[in-house]
Amino acid sequence: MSLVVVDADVLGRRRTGDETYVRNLLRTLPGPAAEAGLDIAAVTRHPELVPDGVLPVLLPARSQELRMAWTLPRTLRRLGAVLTHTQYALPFRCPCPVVVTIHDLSFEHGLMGRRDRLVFERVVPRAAREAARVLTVSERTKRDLVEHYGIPPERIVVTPNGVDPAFHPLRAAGPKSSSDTVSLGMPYALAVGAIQERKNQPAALAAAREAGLELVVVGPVKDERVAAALREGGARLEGYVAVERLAELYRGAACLVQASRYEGFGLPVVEAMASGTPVVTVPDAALVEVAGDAAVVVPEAELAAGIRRAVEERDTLAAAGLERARAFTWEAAARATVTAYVEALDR
Amino acid sequence: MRVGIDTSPLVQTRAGTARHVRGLLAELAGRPGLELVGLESGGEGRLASVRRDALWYPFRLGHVSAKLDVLHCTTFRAPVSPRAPLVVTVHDLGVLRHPEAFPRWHRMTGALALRGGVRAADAVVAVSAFTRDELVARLRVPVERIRVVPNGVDPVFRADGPAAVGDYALAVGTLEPRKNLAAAVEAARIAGIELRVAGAAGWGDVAAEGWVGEPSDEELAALMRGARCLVYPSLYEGFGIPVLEAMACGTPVVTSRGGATEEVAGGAAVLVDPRDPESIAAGIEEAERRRDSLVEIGRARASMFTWRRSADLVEDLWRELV
Repeated sequence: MSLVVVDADVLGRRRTGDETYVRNLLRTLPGPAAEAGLDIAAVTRHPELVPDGVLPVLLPARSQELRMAWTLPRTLRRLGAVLTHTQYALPFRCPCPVVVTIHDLSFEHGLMGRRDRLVFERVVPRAAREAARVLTVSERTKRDLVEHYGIPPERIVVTPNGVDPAFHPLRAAGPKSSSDTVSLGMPYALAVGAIQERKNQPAALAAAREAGLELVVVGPVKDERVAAALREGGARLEGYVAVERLAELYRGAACLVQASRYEGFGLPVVEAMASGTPVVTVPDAALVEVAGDAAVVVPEAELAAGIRRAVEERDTLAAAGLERARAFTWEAAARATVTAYVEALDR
Repeated sequence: MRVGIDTSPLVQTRAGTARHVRGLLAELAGRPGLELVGLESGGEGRLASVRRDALWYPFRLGHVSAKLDVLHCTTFRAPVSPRAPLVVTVHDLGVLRHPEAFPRWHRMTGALALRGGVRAADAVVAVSAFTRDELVARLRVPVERIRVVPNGVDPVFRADGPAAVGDYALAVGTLEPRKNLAAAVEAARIAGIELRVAGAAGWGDVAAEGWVGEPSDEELAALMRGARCLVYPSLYEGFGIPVLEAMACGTPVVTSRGGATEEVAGGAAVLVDPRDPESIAAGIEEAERRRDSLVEIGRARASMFTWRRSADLVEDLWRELV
């Protein structure tokens, strides 16, 4: 069998959406890969997190640059990989074809720190041009790639994210109380995503307050100034939480408020829908694409009214959301990914 | 699933505990797969209380529970050895925190019954995160055994409806020391506004100027609608339903900073130091200034607290225990 090596360096590193993506793909890839005559290996710092059916390969990394320039290509050669699958960047002098996943081009929209942006601006366009296949998680990111970098659309494959099975509704919104300070039984609005300007949590906070709700924010702090403003405004910051805890928080929430300025997909939208929780969101291209007509979509200035509507129409929105979320499965993402692998190998 | 619910609070009082039982019962009755059995030891007066607290709760109720899938005691009083999974609702720890604020019988037996009740319970329902934290801090109840289920607002309390006439602020609460009505009276005097006090006659020699007796819910809602604001400077609450009822009526709320009232207010009320009448008076004036925004946020806030949601949370808990 031929070996496909997935770069799983994000595993266990609290990388929110990017990590969710890799974790769930590794879980669902082995089946469809075997049917195509492919074995899957994952290079990672945390081999213990690699699911059954995938060959774990330990690859410590001190510097990301060194890893992509030297240790990863060397590992690929040693393993005799026929194909590798990375996120955002290509290994230097790669001995095999590459499939690269590009989640979003937020750095092209002035929504990333300067240092990160400089790296992304150099690395991502090259990766998109040289990869055998580019995977995106939404039509939105595909459009961005065509418009910004002139990538031929036929080389881009859209593989929408799925929903982790941990997210499901209870008969009612009943989270367990645990040792944190958040009063889960009390009504609250929820915002999910790394704390940074792009996710625009302060707008969610203002709207929740105006609608008479507290805001609970889940996600690691990337921008301390945004976090300070949120704390100042009375939001409850939960930090990065395990998936089981996140599922509880979704189920207990009056609604999810997603006010992001730019998204490549917007996983929290489908996760909330799968939990039977109404979603209130702004008309960002990716968020609207993912939400379909199962969310309350309002401009940022009207988020508070949107929250009130979501609470009033909870039952209809919950039913529509559950239906919508069923369209997003990691199994489907894995099948589409394997199809892209096969195409890349045939090229 | 057969669930026995202690409905004794309904015959004893009309205050928060009874509202809790009534609100949940109305919502849970007739739900598919649920058979509710109301359990009560009726009777008012001292003898009935002693019989209830000394015999019915600790022993008789445990015996009765053999035929149930879950027994839900709606106050901390519960059987010592239940024969079904036991849920105990704790509204507050007032009997430990402020024993002086209770009549003698309750003061003497309450602390012991509370400890016994939460110890025997498989799950404890706390009506607020504040009460949950009190249970953890004072009684060492493992936090994972506690579920927060807030109270709801009865639909009688809504913004449209008859309003009482006059220019007054309203205070609500049984005439007992904990409600701190004397400070409300003093604050209203400083602010130069008439105060009306609505609530049952209580204990502890509390007299309040402007007392209008214990109104029905419809009358109370009308009093709230007509009021410039609700003044609720309680010294200790496990929840504080009047805060939400006033918000639902479109009335600004002035209440105590810290504790459950701040939690329930959720940023939609003016918070004051209840021990300082000057602070309360300043709060009354601030409520006047910010009236429009307080009314709007308050109504939105109150609409989040429905008995239906509370009942959903309770039903989930029962189903987990069976």
